Amino acid sequence: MPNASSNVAALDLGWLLQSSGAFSHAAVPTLDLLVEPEAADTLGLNNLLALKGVGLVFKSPHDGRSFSLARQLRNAGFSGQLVGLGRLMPDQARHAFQSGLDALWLEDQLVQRHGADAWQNALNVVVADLYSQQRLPLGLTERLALPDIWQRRQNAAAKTLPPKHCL
Amino acid sequence: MYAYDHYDQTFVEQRAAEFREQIDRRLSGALSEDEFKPLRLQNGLYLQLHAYMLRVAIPYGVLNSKQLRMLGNLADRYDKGYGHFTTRQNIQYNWTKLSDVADMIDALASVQMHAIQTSGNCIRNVTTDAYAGVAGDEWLDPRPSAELLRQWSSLHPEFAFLPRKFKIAVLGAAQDRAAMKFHDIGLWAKLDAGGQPTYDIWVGGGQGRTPRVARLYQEAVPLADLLPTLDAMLRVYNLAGRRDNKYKARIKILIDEMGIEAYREAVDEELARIDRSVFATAVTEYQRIAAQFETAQRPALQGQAIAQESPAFHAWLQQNGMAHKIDGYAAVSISLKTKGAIPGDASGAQMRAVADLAERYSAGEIRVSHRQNLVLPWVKLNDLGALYAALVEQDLAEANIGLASDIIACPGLDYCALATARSIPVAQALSARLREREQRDGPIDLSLNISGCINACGHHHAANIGILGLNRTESETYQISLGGRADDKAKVGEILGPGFSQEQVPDVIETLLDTWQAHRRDNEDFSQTFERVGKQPFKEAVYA
Repeated sequence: MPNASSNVAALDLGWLLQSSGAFSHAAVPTLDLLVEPEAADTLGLNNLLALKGVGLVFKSPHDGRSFSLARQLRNAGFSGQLVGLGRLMPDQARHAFQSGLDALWLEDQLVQRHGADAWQNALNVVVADLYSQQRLPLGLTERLALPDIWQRRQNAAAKTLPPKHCL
Repeated sequence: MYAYDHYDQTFVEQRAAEFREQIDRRLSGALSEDEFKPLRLQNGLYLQLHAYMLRVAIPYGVLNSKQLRMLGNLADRYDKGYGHFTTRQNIQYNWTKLSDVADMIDALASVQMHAIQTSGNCIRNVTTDAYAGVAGDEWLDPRPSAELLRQWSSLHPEFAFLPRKFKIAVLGAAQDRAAMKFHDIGLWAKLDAGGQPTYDIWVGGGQGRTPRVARLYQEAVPLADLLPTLDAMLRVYNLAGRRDNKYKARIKILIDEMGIEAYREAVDEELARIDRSVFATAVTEYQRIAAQFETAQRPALQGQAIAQESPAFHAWLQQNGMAHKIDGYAAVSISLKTKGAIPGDASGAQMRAVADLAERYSAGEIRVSHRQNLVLPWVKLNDLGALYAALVEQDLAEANIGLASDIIACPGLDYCALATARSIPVAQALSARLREREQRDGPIDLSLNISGCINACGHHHAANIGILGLNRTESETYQISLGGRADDKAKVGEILGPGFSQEQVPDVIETLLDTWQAHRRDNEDFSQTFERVGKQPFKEAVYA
């Protein structure tokens, strides 16, 4: 796999958390490129758009650049697989999927560190609804895939309005 | 006021449950402190010198009496009987136990409150003018915009791990009473020719070790474009902001380094990619929120008049009252800066007393101001005398709003793990000295702010007289700056010279005041005199 990183090359078996909530021990998905956040500018957004699978590297639990990279790629029309890799916490899974990633690939050590249960439950314990959210991955777990609060409020308000002929 | 519906209530309850689970994982060791840190900060929980500090959001500074009563009860039950109101319309509890925090958050949720994003490298509590909706110089109530932004930014998935904190303030009046130009983004809301909201966007303001006044980014951005524009501005910052040095990670540094034009180009590129249809609900949501604030406005009253009372009452009203946009009312500030007090501190009993007074005299509503005081925004003119008498009984009738003794101060080295010097004892000594001088010689109309370190939480850069506590060779020293201001003509103060010991500070400040009086022409304010004469006469006076 070509990669824009020097330290995430030797990936083999690990855990895959998908936006659907499925969690399994698996090989790293097939990716065309690994992108570290520093390298994104040099690579150029347009050069990534035709790829089928891109890995976005998270360098520390404090570094949210790859969330914005995911959103930027989706906004630019990227329709392939976006997989997050690196130093993530279970609490960041919702951030990843709501920013447009499809899956997180996690090293065994990281899963052991937090406990498999924490990752398995990562999408069940977080706040489910956002007020306003952008396009979500297809197949996102039902709990997070509802229309956002503003949309639901407005849908509900529309239903409570009297029919037009009564106005 | 804005009242939660079941979506808002569910949201804060889910967040409370999520945070309880995160605390449990920290207590069990499943989360390391390094991992827990961003999570707890995103919910307002700091580890201070002696204990955890919980910072609770008071969105755009608006409270109802039930909420203020709850804040008072939390102070008594989980702190040492006090809460500390901050410059960004939050309240802090300095003595909380980690094991109590989840219960505190649940209690807050029960009164439609939370601690979401009151700290951490995310979009912080959105602030505004404490007189929003009642100020005579207001052309658009900023609270609906602030509430829209609160909702949009709450748990925003993409902007929770930014390079540094991100502060937004919104104004809708001629005067800046929220230090808008010292925010990462300041929005100056106005009305267009068709009566629709537009926003002048200012960017890159901030204090800390590299103080900057915000620069104008774009004028008259229509409401429909506001969120897409902010979304693009934040994305560029998240991707390009520095992460190698926390002191250079704020957006002000990015803009210094990129230049405002290059930043604007990057944001425009981002905007061109954004699917604006996902923001289409924002305008309707704004209208829904604005309707709630409009409904809560009160009709003009006839036959209201200010009764003849004692000279002390009239002095208090002159200093702490504000002309109201609706006939028959006054907005009245309650100073939390009595002689020798800790700026911004209120006891649980005081909070409950103010809540009672708000119910009796202010339609149950209270505001928290940037200058760390409280405001009762809806007092009928006929009730002013009775309110004053009740405030005197509670020792809450200090008539010093906007004066030198109305000091802004951070908690400093008494609590804060980042501080390098104490600010509370300096503020207490100064407040006693300055209040005596004001009572003897008349009002001293200037701003005086104190920070206990270069992070500048006490806004010393933005004060007419700023005091910065530093630690030099094992002893605290206090550096003075002059000429700063936080209003619409915002300016960073100029450092006067070498610092002074804590004991010297009150005398030095009095010398500066004497010097101002000696050089002052007519009714010049401090900034006018300072701009005219420069710092030399002040320097000569204090270093003579």
